[in-house]
Amino acid sequence: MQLRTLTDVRKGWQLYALFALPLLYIIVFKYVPMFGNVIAFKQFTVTKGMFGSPWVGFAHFERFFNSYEFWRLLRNTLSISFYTLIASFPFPILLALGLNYVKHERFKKTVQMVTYAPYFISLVVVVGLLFQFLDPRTGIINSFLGWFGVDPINFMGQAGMFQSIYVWSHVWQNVGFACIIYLAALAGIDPSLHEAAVMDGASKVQRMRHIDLPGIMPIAVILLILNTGQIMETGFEKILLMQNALNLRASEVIDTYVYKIGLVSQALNFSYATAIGLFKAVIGFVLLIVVNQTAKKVGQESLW
Amino acid sequence: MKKSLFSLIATVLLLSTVLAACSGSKNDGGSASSSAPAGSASADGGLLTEPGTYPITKEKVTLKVMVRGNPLVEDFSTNEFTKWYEEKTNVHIEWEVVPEQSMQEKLNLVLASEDYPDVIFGMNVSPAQEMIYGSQGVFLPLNDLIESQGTQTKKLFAERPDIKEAITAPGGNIYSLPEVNECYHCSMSQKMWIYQPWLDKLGLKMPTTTEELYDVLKAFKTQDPNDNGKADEVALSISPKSWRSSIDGFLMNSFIYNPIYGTTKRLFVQDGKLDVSYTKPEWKEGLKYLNKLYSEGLITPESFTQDDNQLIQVGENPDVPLLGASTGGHQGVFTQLLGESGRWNEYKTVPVLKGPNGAQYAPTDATSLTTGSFLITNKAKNPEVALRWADGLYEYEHTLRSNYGRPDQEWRNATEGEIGINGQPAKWSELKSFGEVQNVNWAQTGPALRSNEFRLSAVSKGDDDLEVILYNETKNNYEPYKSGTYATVPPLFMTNEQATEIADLSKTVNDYVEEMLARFVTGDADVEKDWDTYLKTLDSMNLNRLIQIYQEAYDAQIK
Amino acid sequence: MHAKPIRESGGDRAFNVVNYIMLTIVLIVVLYPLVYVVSASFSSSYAVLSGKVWLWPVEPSLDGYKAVFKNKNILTGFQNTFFYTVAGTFINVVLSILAAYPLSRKDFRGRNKFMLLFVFTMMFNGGLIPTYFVVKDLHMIDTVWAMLIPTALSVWNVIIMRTYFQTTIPGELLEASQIDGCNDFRFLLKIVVPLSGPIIAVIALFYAVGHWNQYFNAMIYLKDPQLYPLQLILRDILVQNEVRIDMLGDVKSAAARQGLRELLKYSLIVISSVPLMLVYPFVQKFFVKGVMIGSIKG
Repeated sequence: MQLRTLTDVRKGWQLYALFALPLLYIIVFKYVPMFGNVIAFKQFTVTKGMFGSPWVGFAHFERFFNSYEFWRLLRNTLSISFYTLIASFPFPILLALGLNYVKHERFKKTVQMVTYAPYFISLVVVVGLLFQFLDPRTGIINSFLGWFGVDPINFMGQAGMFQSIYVWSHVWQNVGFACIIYLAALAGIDPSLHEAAVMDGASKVQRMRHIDLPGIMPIAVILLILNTGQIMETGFEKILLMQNALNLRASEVIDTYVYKIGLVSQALNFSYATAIGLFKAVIGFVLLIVVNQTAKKVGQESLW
Repeated sequence: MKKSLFSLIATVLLLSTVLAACSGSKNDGGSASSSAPAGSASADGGLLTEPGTYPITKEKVTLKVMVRGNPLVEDFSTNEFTKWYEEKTNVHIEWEVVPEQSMQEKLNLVLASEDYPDVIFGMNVSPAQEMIYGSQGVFLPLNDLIESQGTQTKKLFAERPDIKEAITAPGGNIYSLPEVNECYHCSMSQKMWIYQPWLDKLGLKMPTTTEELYDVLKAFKTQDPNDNGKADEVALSISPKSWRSSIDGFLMNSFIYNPIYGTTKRLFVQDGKLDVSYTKPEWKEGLKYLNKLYSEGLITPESFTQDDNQLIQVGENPDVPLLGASTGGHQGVFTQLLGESGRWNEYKTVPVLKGPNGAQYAPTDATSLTTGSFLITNKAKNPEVALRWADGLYEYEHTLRSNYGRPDQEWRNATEGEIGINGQPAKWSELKSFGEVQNVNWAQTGPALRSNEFRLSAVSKGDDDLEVILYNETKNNYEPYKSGTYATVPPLFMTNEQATEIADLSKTVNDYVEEMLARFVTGDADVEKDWDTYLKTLDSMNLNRLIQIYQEAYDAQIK
Repeated sequence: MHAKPIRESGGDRAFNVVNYIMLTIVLIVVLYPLVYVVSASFSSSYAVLSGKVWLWPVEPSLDGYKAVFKNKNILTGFQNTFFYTVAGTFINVVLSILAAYPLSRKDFRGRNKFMLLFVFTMMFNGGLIPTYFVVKDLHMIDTVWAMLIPTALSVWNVIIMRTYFQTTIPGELLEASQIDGCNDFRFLLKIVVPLSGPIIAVIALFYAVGHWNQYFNAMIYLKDPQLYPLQLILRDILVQNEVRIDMLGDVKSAAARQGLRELLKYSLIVISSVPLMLVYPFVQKFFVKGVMIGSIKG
């Protein structure tokens, strides 16, 4: 017994030693600056500093909650994010699974490379391309619809279509990059499992269901949990580029609102932006915990 | 074996500490302030020469200056103008260059860390920021310095009291010197352009009223002026994201005074009272007119959604021209300037149209200057020197050198008989084109004095010179319609509280107005039926409070 | 082992067909815009502006690329970014392994609390000014360290790595090695790391891409242009070609720049992403199945 305890302690020591450096980083670069969030409760002026600025309690939060657009912002932010989350979830997995069963190496590698590339195109260009494809006069989509006798649709002018356009272009740009994780996970599955299954006469579909999917499920669930935590973050730059007067009621999210307020006001109001950031963080964190506990209950992988 | 991983970690730790310590010495941390020689601190008469003379100081003085990075300037420290000016003034500059995109953040960071230099230069500090930090003593009030040392500035104030008024904060303090850059055609840039060849082809005259415009656009759409047997003509198409090209920018001014400049869009002053254009019955009439154009296919649906590239593609359509008319500040909004097709030169401006009730306004942009171009901080050991140094930049020759380069290389004086852009005798001429990366001038950074007289006295490069074209179009078709009764709201100083309230209100209100404008014009909302709801919504957004705050700020400043 | 291949069932063959069709569709849908971008980058600015380009380069020209390489700082930009990427990624990967491995061990006391601690930082952060102060107090401003240390760890990547360790490193492996007297350091170095080829490759790729595209930190922390990374220089080039309305003195240069700006957007993408595209095949090598063969037996 005593030998066992000693071994435990010694083992623990080594793990802690390994963990020390990353922990130090987190403390220095994440927790120390976190005190800065205190300015959300103060009227912060740069020159007075964090400690010299006066307290205002929840004034900034009240300003935000009472602002005319608050509910619309919250609604748009959440719906765009959920839509993105749900739409982007299955495709990288499907792509990875499909690629996994391609025997033709060249084809497989080509598809991987090609789908990986859009991630690197700058947002400005992606949105520009999007506008061109959707142009009522010259865009491919409308020409295509024209063959079926459908009148040109001004896609970007329809508030109802904004979220779909945003989400699916996002999927297009990210599916190749996101599927890389799943490819790695699939590569980590013991091939003897597959060999055994083939021996047993399992079809590819069955192998996918019983070997691959369970193999990548932990990663998929973890990613789902993490992405839920990010629910209040939206692709602010991209939305800004895609906004116009006609779709504004569906496209104005919290981040673009804060940005525009900052533009119009002559002095950057850090306190206000920080307060809103805190609000977003709290909501995201709560949701993350909810999803995490749910995952645990269902017997899946979870964060803690 | 276990040692290897351990030693790896230890080495990484050690390395990072050592290297961080070593690099610490490289960072000067801004502790060395202006290294004026001992005994020469602000002692009057000891260090400085007579105001208005050069050099400025008897012994060399160093100023630490933070400047906005200009992508067209290679290196401020080795720049030709820097060197020339240093020789003349005997003031050496230690530059700290801040990339333009991070300008605001950087400014806030240095103010927060108290790591700021003597002078803030070309960073476009806003009036609100001036007031906030000025009242805390970070920025020095310049009034006395100008009085005792600023010969050029005093001259400027005497000739242009409007400029002095614009930069004086409520309470009377002046915290910064501006960059004066008057662009004549920019001051009346809410223009409409029309394709002249089509007017000629269909035997039409340039429209002068809104009714005539309607007829012309209709003719464009139905009479196939590009002669290809297809009804592919686009009568009027605009891009909301381009310069001065909002749908209401030009056309609404035939109904009501409607400026779209700066942050005070659609706000005007009449007899000292501020009001907005978009709640008035005249606005409603204008909406009906626009809706009529739209429903007959004369305004394209994309006019509310397309970006600048899409519009240019329409304008530059290869083979046959497609675009009949567009709105914007210059032809580059919808065509390629000097493009192979030459289309850009075939579009002419439409004069301000007379509306059904006789309204006909060309709103003017009240901002002729960039505020906050030069500020002195409380860390400056020699504020008089700093002010003299900046003051000198307003001199005629210095302005030319700072913005263009060396005499007889990048610019020269005009010769007898040469005519300027405005048709008057010219004073100077540009030799090299502006816009390349170079190291001989500061490419419009910092205070300079380029008033209208200055800019328009550059030698005209002929009728195809864009500056000349824009000048003439503005003079002929817009200048005559300047309003005597209405004025645009000038940039206003505001307290932090006012600025905060305004920010929220104006963002929400303006977005709503633009959204409803689009919806009324496209017919998505009915002008008759939904007008009252529209007004009520604006009311619930506290529009009255918005106007009230602006009025207060205006009254405080224009007194 | 006998070499005779096992015949595929009808169901499997159908699956293959569907699979190939779907993947081909994906390929085309994704490929077309990419081809457009590359073609546009090699066209003339007029062709791009007037919308003539739709599949292949029109009026082929290298104007876009010339404009970029004309810039004096482009070479230092490349060098700097290369250095930041390699050094930064190395630091990132090492730190991530050091964080992820202990977190993956069920016997790591306090494991869940540490996870909470880490995850919390993903949502709550202090913002620009406090972080700037930390960097400043550590004397990293205007040094290469500002580009390497503040971004030394991404909790997201650590969590992914941890998940991988948990699912692919069998518990039996650990027990077996402990019986053999192997301690944690050794286990990590000699067994875990070699078996984690795929995830290390992926994480390294993610970090590398992050470094390669980095520009905001450079804007805030760096003053010396000699230290500027590629993206900052590229953005400068783009901004240099903006047409300033109030200074349209010379039509020719204004016009040239207006067209060039459009073209540049495409050329910049090609230039900045080509290196990353070239790196990918190397990473792909790690997604080879069979990395776990013999791990238990060995």
